[in-house]
Amino acid sequence: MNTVSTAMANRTAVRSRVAVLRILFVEDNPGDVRLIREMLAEGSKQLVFKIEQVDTLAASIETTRREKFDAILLDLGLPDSRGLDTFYNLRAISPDVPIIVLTQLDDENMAIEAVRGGAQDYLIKGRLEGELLTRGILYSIERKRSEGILRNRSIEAESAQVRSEAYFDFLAHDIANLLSPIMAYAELISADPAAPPNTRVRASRIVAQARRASSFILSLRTMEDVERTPFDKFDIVDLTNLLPLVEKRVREEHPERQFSVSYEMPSDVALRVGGGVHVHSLLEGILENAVNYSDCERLTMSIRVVPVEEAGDKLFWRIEVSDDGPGFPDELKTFFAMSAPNPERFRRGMARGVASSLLVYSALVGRFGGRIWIEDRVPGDYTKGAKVMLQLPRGV
Amino acid sequence: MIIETYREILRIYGFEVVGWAYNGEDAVKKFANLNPRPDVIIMDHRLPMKNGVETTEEILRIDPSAKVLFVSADTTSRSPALSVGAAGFLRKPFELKELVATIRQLGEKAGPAASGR
Repeated sequence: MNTVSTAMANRTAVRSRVAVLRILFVEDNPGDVRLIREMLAEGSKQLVFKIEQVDTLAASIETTRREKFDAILLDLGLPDSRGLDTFYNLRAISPDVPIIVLTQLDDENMAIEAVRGGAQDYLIKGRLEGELLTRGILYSIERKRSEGILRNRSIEAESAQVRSEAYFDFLAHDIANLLSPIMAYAELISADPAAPPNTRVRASRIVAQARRASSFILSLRTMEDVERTPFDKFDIVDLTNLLPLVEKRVREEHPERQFSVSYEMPSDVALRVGGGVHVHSLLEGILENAVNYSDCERLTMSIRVVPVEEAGDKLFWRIEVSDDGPGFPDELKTFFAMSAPNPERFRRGMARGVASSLLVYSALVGRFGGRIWIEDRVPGDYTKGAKVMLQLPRGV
Repeated sequence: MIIETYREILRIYGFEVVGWAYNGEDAVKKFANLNPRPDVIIMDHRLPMKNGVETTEEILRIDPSAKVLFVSADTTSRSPALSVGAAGFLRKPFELKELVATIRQLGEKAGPAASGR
């Protein structure tokens, strides 16, 4: 026999296989029982209904505990239970079996309620006929099954997500840990007066590289946190309190640097922005950058917060940080303005030699629905200092 | 590796390492039995048995004047550590000069310079 006819023979065999569906029928009205039994007895060539009928809720609960059904046909008005409670009680016992509610014409609203509460379908008794009933049962079984598959898939996806986040955390944390001794020994050698000058220079390069790796890990960690966390889950921070705190932090971190900071911000409103701890590190990064790259004896910074309204009634606070340090040449300005809200752009930025922390700042701000860019403090002369403009949506 | 590294390096910088532990419970036990108490305790966060924050809390319960310098690659541990009373926090990897300067600063507050873990 050739393959085509074998396949055909198989298909015929499948077609002729008869499916038996086990139905629990919960109904106390003898007339309805007889009518629906008759309708289901017609069945079809491939379908046979095996019906177990009970007339109380108690009996239905008892039966579902003992036997497994493909579907339940449920009348809501039973001698021992009436209305939606009938449905909820039975569903609690058999959450995985599709329940089709049978109802009178004047009870349709209640049946709709039952569907909202998880019933698979409802059928109105006076309008039933065999084919409609059969199709209703089959569709209900099918829908319940796909619901289950979808639910399982989303549970699986969620736990896979949790596992991969744990791996990422493990990777980031432990590489930072592993870098510690590398950095420490290299630093020890670079500071050792007995070591040859060449060796000391090489060791200090190891330190610098380890430091870069460490800040790269921190950048990726920050991005991962921002990608994973919905924006409204971050704390709302008030710039009036935050800015002096950030200044204090930068002073503590750089006790050797001399700088002054003056503030100009509205005092009659709360300067609230979303983004929590990331806004803190963003501002700290901007101030630290100014302090780190300043080559003058005493750096003068001024921070101004102004309200901004953009098209579509979008409200922002714009934080302008000006300094009289060395300023940003134009090509660096464009790096800063480049937003990188996805890994690919991040990778491209890194490949172009942009510091990962800069990429993170722009990506963070983009993610939060704001903007960051750099202007010259004195327009047209970048050597006179920079003005970092950070615009963040107002928090509510 | 981390403990061995810093035991060696801290000695070179003139500190005396009077004890060390590889997990939180052991750290509490060793701290309770040390006499005199160390001037500074360097504490990691992700430790077996008991994390650094819990360990810090217990050590401070034994001796509220203990100076715990928290060191962790996990920056989310910074604020819980400081809020239970850690005297300082360094993100790993840190630079030696940073570590040495912080230990000296904490040690001065505590009394004669020394360190332990």
